[in-house]
This record gives sequence, structure tokens and C-alpha cells, in this order.
Amino acid sequence: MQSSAIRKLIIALACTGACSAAQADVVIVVAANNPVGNMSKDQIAQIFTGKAVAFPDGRKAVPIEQGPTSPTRSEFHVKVTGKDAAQLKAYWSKVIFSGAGQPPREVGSADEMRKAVSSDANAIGYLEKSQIDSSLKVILTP
Amino acid sequence: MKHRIRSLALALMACGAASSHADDNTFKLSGFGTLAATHSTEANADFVSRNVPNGPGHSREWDTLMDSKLGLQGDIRFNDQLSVAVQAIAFKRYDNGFYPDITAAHVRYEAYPGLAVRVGRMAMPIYLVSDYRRAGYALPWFSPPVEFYGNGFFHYDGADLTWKTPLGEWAMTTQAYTGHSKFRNPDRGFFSANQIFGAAVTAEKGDHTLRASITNAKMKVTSTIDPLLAAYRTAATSASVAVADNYAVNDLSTTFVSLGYMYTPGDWLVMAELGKTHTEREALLAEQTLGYITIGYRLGSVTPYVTLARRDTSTANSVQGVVPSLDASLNSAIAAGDVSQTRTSLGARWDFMTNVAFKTQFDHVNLDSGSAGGLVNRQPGFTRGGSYNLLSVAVDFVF
Repeated sequence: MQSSAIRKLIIALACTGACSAAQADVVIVVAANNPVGNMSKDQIAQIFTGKAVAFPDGRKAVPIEQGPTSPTRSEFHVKVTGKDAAQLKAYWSKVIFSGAGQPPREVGSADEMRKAVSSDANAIGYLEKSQIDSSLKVILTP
Repeated sequence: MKHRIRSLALALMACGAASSHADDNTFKLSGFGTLAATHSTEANADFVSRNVPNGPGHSREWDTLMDSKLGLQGDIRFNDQLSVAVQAIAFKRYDNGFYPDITAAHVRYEAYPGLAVRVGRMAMPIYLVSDYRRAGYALPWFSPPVEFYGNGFFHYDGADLTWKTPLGEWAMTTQAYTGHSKFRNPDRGFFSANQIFGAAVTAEKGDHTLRASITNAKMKVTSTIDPLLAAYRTAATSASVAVADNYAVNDLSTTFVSLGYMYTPGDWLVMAELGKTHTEREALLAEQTLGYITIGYRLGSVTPYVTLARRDTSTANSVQGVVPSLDASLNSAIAAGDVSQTRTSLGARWDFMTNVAFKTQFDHVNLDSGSAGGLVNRQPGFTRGGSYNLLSVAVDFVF
């Protein structure tokens, strides 16, 4: 927690506008053929916490997470759901142990995320901006 | 029973081992636990946080079993629609033993995305955190506010229907449930809630969660005044039988309503609930008004919080000219059932490692005049209407 804050500070100090590309930029993606348009941070947070189950057009939305050690995952949650790792764990504990549901499926790498999202018109995931290709569509840059 | 639970747990684990090589989501074993200790300054009675026969205070200086527990849950997913969940929690029981109870065993069928039905045994969803109140790691407090969550109705057997739908920018969850529930009281046999019908609506947007619920059930409870009521019945006048019928909690229609609010923007934490209990006729603890508010603020991995809670109970006790030799005793026995109190707590949660949290809480409890505040094993030296403090520590974990 503290070391990542320090790292961010160092990056912030080192970067003076020109090198902003060096900073990680998480983007929320769906398959290129998914008809959904841009979505708000709240709508995406609701899907990733199981509070909403569909895209705004009513089609089922299947969120996909990266693994617990992924820095992209922490960046996504800090920016979108507003929860750190412990808060997210506490949140899912309440959902699991009340029998209301299960957390989203996890994939082991950015590569797997790209494959899982691009091959499924119901999937929604997140990647670093540098990791996307034409098989994916960005619906939010938080 | 114990054998059945053990073989169930073994079967679940064997199942987990068998499917753990596959990367599909067919079986998942998870669990939670709490190691807790509580000290009370009231030496002439025991504080109990729920349905147990004794606790810290008179029986012991520090109680390490009352809030300690170990829960295990197996989730089997057959496909996108169908899944099964079984949960067992070992904790201190009504008979002072520490052994597991099957707290959930249900089939869940998601007919359409967002519309799910569950059948079997499930946690009672009466209040905001009712259905996960034993999973300490999921709660900000040392333990859930005793004013709301001290009762023994933890799970019910029946069915529920959950419907998730957006309403503008709000994510709405509507739940309807029905069934029956019972638990064993330490010294008064089984308490039951039959013909439970309830509904809850949860609205979530950004960092705000609002929840409203209403539950009605036919309560059947052996109450402390039952021996006196038997004497009224024996007196056999129409007025005395009416008193016996009226005050007996026997298929007594009871309605629980509540409003809950949660604000969780990351650093701040606000949780508040208001509850009202109403019975169709005057009975012991007929009217209850409950409320609490918790405000916390996160400083790195530590979240200190403060809670203010209130429980107000009232029962009309003006039985007069029915059985002259008994009326005064009945009125004072009814008054003795008062558990009104005000509680102020200071606590902190420290997320010191992955999946493990340390918690500590200090409570100052003020009993209303004449109230025993739910304290049990009251000794001759106990004075109603006093105050006492609790100090608690706990380690909560999930896996």
C-alpha cells in the first residue's frame, strides 16, 4: 500500500507530462463486436460487484477479473469500484457467505483476458491501454 | 447429526480435491473464522451477544468461545443457471457445546439473468447484515450490533426469489422470502417463527446502499412469564384465561420492519439502521424500536469507528382486578422483561495481512431504569438500570 504510493509519487515526480505514457492506464474493454456503447464508472462498478447483471441494452454481462496479484486489477478497482484488496475481499466475503453469489471468473494473464473478452460478446474485462488490439473495444478510460 | 455433518464435510472436500485440477468453476470450498475474547465489567451477570447460556461477567472474566467460530462453505456450480451451496458453522451453542450447525443448504436456479430462486436452508435476511453476520471478516465491527443481531433466528428453511434490475442509475435488488425457522434457547426449549413472509428492497448507486425490509412471522416462544400465565389459566375465569391467551407468545403475528443505509466511498464508512417490531397484541417485548449508527474512517490499513446504538422495548403491564393474588406478580414479571439500553462503542479494524483482520472494540452500555438489558445469569447482587463496559478483541479470517 505504502510502497505503491511511494512508487506513484516517484513516477509522478519523474514524469513531467512528456513521459505520461510510462504510467499504467487501465481501460475497460468488451469484444469489438459487442454493440454496447460507452459506459459510466458506476455502471461498470455495479457489474464487477454483481449488483447489476446486464449491459445497458439488457444483454447479459459477464465480468472477468485478472488474478489477485495483478497490478492492473488493483488499478482497476482503485479507479472504478473504489475498493482496495482488503475491502474487495470483505465485500465478496459477504456475498459468498450469504449465499447470494460468487465473484467473477479470474484469468491468469493479460493474454488470457484478451482472448476471453474478444471471443465472448457478453464478456467485459480490463487491460492496460498498451495491451489492447483490434479484437477489443474500449468502453471507458477511468 | 454430528456424523452427518462430518461425512458431508468430507464429501465436499473429496469433491473439491477431485475437481481442483480442472480450471472450470464446478466446485469451490471457502471458509471464515473468528478467534475472539470479550471481557465484561458487570460481575453479577453474564453478557451474551446471542443465544448462549453464559458469557463474560459472572461466569468468567474473559470469554473466548462466545464469538469464536469456524465456518466452511462448499459451492457447486453445475452450469450458468444451477448451483448448490452448503455451509456449516461451528460455534458455541445453546447447550454450551462448541460444534457445527448446518447454516445453509440450498439449490439456486437462475431462471433469467438477474432472476434467481433458492430453495432449502438459507440465512434470514431480516436486517442489513443478517445473512452474513457470522462472517466477521465481512463486517466492520468486532461483532454485529447486539440490538439487531442478538436473536437466535439465524437461518430458515424455505424459498426466496431475488430479482436484480436497474432503475435509472440505481442497481435494484428485490428479495422475497418465505419459510419457517426455529432454534433452541438455553433454558426454554425451542423458539420458532412459522409462516415467515418477508420482502427486502436494496438500492445501490455509487457508494450508497439503501435497504428497506418487512417481515411477518407467527412466533412461538416459551417466555419467562409462562408459569404465571399457567396460573391465570388455572384460575379459569373468562378474564384470567383472556390474560393467559393474550400474553402467551403462541402463534403471535409479529412484524419486523427496518431501514438500512451504508455509505462506503473507500475512506469513510457509514452504516445505520432503524428497526421496529410490532406484535398484533400486547405480549412480552411487544414493541421494540432499534437503531444504530456507525461512522468509521480509514487510515491506511486501520479503520477506527464509533457506534451509537439504542434498543427500546415496551410492554403494557397494567393487568388489574383479574386474579388479585397474581396481578402484581405478573405486572412486575412483564416489567422485568425490559431490555432497553443505550450503547456507545469505540473500535478499530486493522487489515494487517491478506485475508486476516484484527479488531478491537470497547463498549459502554447504559441500561434504562428497571432494565436488565438482556444480561443473563443474574446474581442477587445485580442491580437493574446500571451500566457496564465490554472490551473485546478478535482475529477474523477468510479462506
